[in-house]
Amino acid sequence: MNLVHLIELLFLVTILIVIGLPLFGKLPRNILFAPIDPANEEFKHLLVRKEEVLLAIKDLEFDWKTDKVSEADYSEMKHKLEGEAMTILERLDQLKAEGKKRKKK
Amino acid sequence: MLIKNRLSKREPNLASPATLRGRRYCSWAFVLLVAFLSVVSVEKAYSSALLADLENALMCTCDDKCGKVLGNCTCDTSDKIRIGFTEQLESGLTVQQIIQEQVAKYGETVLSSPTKTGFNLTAWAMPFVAIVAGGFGIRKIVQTWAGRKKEADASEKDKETTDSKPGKYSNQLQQELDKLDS
Amino acid sequence: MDDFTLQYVWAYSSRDLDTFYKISSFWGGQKGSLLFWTLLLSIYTVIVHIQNRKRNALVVPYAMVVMMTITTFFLVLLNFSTNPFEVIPVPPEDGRGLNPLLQNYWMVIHPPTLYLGYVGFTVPFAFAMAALICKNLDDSWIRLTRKWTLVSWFFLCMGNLFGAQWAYLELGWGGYWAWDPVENAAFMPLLVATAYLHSVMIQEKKDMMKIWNMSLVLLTFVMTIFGTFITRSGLIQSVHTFDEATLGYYFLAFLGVIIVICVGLILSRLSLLKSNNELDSFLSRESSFLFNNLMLLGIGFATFWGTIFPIISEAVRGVKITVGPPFYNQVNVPIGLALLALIGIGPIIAWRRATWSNLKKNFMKPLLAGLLAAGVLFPFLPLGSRSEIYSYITFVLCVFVMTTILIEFFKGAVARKSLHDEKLPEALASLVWRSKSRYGGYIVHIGVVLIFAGIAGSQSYSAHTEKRIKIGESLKVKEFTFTYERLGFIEENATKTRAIAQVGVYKDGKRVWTGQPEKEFYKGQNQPVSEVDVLSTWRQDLYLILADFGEDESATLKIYVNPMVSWIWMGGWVIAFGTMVSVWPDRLEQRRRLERMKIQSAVFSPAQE
Repeated sequence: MNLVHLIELLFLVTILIVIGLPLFGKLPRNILFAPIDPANEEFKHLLVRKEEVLLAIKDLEFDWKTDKVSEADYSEMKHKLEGEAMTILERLDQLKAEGKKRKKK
Repeated sequence: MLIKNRLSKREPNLASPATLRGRRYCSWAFVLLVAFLSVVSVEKAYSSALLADLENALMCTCDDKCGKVLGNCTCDTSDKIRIGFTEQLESGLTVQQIIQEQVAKYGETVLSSPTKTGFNLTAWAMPFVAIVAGGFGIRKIVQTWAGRKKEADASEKDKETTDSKPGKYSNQLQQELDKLDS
Repeated sequence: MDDFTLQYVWAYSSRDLDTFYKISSFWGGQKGSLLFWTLLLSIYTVIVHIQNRKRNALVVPYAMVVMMTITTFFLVLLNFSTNPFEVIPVPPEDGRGLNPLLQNYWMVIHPPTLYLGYVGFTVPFAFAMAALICKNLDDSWIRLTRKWTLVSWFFLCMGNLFGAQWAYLELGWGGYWAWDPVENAAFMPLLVATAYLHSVMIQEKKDMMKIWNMSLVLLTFVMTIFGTFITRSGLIQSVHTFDEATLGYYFLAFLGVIIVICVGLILSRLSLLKSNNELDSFLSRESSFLFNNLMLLGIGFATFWGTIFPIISEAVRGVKITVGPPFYNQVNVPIGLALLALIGIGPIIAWRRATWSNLKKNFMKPLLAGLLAAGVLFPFLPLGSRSEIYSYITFVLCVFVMTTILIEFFKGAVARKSLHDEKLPEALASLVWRSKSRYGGYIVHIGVVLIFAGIAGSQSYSAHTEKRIKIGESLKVKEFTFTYERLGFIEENATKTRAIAQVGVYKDGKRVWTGQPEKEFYKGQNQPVSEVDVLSTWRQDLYLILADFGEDESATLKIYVNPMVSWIWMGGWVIAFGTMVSVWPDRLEQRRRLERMKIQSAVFSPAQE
């Protein structure tokens, strides 16, 4: 039994512990086995979309300030993006109400 | 060009004719430039650079098949080959003659790039064919997508005039935008 | 360390090998490099697990399955085909030693960097597959793997550059890139990944082009496996081919399986991947990105086509031919120039919809700068051959692109200055800091421009000579005079002897440098190894090779004067800096993400990302 074997043994034990640990840990199982909720998925997706549209509005303002788009194009695009954002906000509100209702149950 | 004309007729407000024409000139100028550059022959031989031409055109033929072009090879064999070529050049053979002799001896493998004849032409043409085809494809796709947007916008505008979004959301939007900045 | 009972250790190491190189001999041969690959892949898998142990419980398990499957493939190879732990029954006293060409510090740097990139693309691939399998097809997999992709791209890019530098310093032919099949194999995934990095922005911003991005990320991974297949099959002649290339069929089969699965999955999820593809205008950043994708994939395809054309030719005509550097140079250079021009045009065009009149106005300055450069350079640069014309065009384009990028920084800083009441340098710093990914990207572009300039300069205006001279004699290359002064020998250790020539370099009668090119002789190796000596400045490299020497101390010297080579390496460091800026954790973005999670868990419990 030389040093190498000892290190090997330690290594093996460490690996076993690391691999075995989750078996004894407490994982919120409902996360793992909860069925996919389409409303939840849509909500999640729309939150990201909302953020992107907001960022796009910011970008558009910046593009306008750095003279990449004309006044006319700027206001038209801004109007459209704001419309998009508001549609998303509206839908988010709907989903929120739905989700809250379900949560109460 | 046909596709383009048809499309631009269908969507007259896509871009003004002047910009279209400008863009077309640009693309043609670019195509011409590429064509010009690929056609201009490199066979211009400087007397001092004859060996370099050979080194560039032929592969190293050493035993362990290093797979390098002669100019990049540093093995002993390559040195001998170079000395041989220099002698041949001095004896009055042209670069073309030496290359032909090498091809006769080792086969086409010895050439560092495919010949521009027969089937080998596909090697040269394929990438450019693919790019040109892809270019037209992308243009068509972009125009279709841009066109689709136009139609969607038109219908949206009709809708928007009828239902005005509540002010609540525009306030919220402004708040969220401000929050993004901080 | 010196356990020569293992066949692999015997074959690639020896007792008096430097510890430094003993480590590098780990990946010096085929078996070891596969083991190294597996090691990296396992480490990456562990990192992915640790990163996601408490989140993304939906996608990550599938991604883990994909990564483990790939790991299993490599483990099967290692266990049943190329066992690196094969034992020699009667252990020999000493090993065979590492190939002297590989005894170079680049051997320690280049392969790991390249492998880090190569293996890294497994992660985005695995997440893309996972998204396809569990039908979670919005852009969450892209967001989860964005940093992975960037970092892998970075390592692959640096790996390629390091490889070029190694070739330049070690192989001794005065060049850095030979369009060797294996170089191509590392270059192709880089191109596809670059295309992906750009087009993915469209999906993030507008939630479209899902199929395209999915295909690109899968193709990137397929290309890495294809590259490995080329290296390990011995199908195509190459400098890099491993001694015993026997694994071709395994990788071919693996490649086939991956392609079938990828195509099958995409086809079966086609309806879910359909997105509402709309562009606000033909003239927009989005469409310019599409053309950039076209150019990148065009170069990729040309490279791929050239790499496999010998096989096609043999199949169709029965004639084996070679596709070498002249082919790639003639085909890829024009496409590369178009790409370079696009790097300059892209930033000026606004997202979604650009205005043509503003665009024309913004083009004026860079265009003028380009034309000015064209005028200034014209009298100085020879335009005798195609390569010189190309280089001239490249320089002009470089000036054009550089101007657009700098103007982009300047304008942004001015806009910010007026908004936030900051001084210009301060505004510039906070501009970059607040949109790291965008300006980091622009910095990377500056690096790419430097690389283009370096390639153009060194490809067309280099000069070289080769001559056998006696001590005291001189050679003249360009404005430099090289005088061969003496020859010395050093016996470094039992296996290695060095022959060193001393060369004095004069410019206008003044001594500027003393070069010492070497030739190293290793016991048991017939071919000596040349160690070049290089004086590298921003203007040019003076590159000396001691090709041969005789008993009368006369020596054959090869001398290259290569202009602007150092620009390429400089470009590499700029790219490194830009990538660092890009991947630096963004506090705002993180905050937004946490905010999203919070909102979501308030409405739907429990929150899933």
